[in-house]
Amino acid sequence: MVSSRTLNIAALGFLFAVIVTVFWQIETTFKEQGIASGGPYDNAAAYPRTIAILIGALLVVQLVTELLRRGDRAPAKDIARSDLRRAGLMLAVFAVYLGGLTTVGYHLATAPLIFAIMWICGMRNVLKLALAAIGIATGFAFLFEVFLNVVLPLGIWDIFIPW
Amino acid sequence: MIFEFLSAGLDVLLSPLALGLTFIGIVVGLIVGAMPGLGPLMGIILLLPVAIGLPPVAAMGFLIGIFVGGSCGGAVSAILLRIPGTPLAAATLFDGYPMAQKGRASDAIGIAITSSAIGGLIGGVVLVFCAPLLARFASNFAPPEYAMLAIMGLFAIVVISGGSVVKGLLAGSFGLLIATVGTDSFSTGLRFTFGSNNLLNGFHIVAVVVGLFAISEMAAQMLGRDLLKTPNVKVARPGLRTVAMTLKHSVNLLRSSAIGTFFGAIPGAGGVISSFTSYAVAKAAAKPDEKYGEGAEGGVVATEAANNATVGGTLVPTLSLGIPGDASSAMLLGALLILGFIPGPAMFENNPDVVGGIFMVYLVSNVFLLIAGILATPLFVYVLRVPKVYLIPSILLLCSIGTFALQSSVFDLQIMLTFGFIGILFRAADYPLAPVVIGMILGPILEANLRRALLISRDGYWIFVDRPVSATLVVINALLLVAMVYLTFKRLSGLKQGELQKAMSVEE
Repeated sequence: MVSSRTLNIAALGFLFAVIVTVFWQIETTFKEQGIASGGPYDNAAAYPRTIAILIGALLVVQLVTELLRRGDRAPAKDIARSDLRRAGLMLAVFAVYLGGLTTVGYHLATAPLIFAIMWICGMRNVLKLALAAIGIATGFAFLFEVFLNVVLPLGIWDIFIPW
Repeated sequence: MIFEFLSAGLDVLLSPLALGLTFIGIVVGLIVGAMPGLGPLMGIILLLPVAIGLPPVAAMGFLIGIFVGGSCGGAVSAILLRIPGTPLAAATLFDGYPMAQKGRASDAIGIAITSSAIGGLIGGVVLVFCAPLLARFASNFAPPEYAMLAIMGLFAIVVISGGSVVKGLLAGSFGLLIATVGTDSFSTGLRFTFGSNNLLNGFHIVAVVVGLFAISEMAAQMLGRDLLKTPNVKVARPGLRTVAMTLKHSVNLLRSSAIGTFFGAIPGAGGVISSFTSYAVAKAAAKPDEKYGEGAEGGVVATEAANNATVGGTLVPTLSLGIPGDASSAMLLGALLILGFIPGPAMFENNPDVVGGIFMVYLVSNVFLLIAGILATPLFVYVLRVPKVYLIPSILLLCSIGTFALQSSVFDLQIMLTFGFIGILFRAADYPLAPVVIGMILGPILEANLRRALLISRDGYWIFVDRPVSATLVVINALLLVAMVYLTFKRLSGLKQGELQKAMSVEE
């Protein structure tokens, strides 16, 4: 089980990485473009640098707060491993879907996504799953393509429904 | 002046598209509000991509309808399931659920809807009268005032909205930083684009917000074990007699609406604080035989009138100063910016039809709320019966298509997913997400006005204290800063005491 302290440290680590990126960019690409110094008009680095320094100062305060509660290693919430796995699997499936959307196309990729997520949620009736997946995918496609004139990704096989 | 806005707005409102979309917005808002875990903010975020392709007043009618309907919809699940659909309806539980247990669920829902509509209308009257006056006052504002106002908006939200001040400030600063990505409007230099042409205009706010809120919320919903469960709820349609029941509490209604409007106009306070405050005030002012907490009609009236009046109040600083009162109004402000309008005094001067249109759609949306709420309650009850197993994939799909539809860009989908992971991390570490959005919206206003102020200044930063209004705002910001430091130290000393008590209890 992940403790709330570990999660807080992870968030602080992320924000620290953001600060490092800001200073690294200012020292490299900003300087190359000549926008890292000068007056208010030319100096595009002053504002992000100030915000990054502010974040840095706040990180120190937050770190001190974390150190003060060093005895607190309580779990963040009472979340079972199986529940976490379900959420993680959903995100993984969703990431794969987004990654393959332009290649496979909306109409081929979406029904399997919905089927997979409903399966992860615990539904096991295959017929119900298939009907719901096809129904939801087609319903949304109809709504966006017909009413809002959105061209959904066709994929490399140019698959579309001529409504 | 006010009537000029209203007549200009009436012309734009009286189109089937604007009226129809406002009504649809109300229905959608009531549905997303009723569904636990969603709410008006999520409704606005999910449907923002649909709205930005529409004419401005129709788009704002749709979004404001969702805001108004969503602020009321949470009461339905609070009354029927004892689960507030939104935090706004948390105080409605106290008397709404006991009323349902006594077999008066339809009365409770009817009173909640009527109170919301009347509270919203009172908030609307304040909006119509106060926003133009505030905008006129702000028309003399120059870059120093706007820069200080942007800082005040961010500080106020962090101080008032509760939780850890440091985490709120970190989240807000992160939002400010996100807003710097892209081409700098002054020097035309490229900032944090990493050589990608997709980042030349920065992150699309909708992709960021959908990721932060919707994706992380769906991941949180997946942790529940009630994904296949169908809640067993039954309710009859509330009749028009509930309107009469509500009007019996006219003093409570007016007082709660006034409290809601007041808190709405203060950035950061929002509907949750206003509904709890008005409930506490109503309970204190009630006669003992009213029995608050055991199914008193007045309890439902107080909370629902207040949380919907907040919407009108929050639109006052949003429209007249360009400073959002909460995350939902920040999204409305974002929508206006995407539609090509910059909220503030200039919008009142240059686009009276849009301002008047927004006033009118807000007022009309509260009338629609009463009609749709009373007539369509069975629909919302039916929606409550839809298991999450169908809702989660549908919402994920809506997020994906909606974000893709913005610019037909797969890159936006990648941004959405990335910010989804950031949202999950922030939620897990108990960082508030609203300051990120507000920081992202206020960021460009703050930076541009800060740099403009320094450009026109002959004395550097002294320009911020040389001007009376700016100097007043500097003092307010300093006070807010002191409040933040005080709250942080108070929290730290609380932690120390907690540690001490823990250590003592271990020794014992």
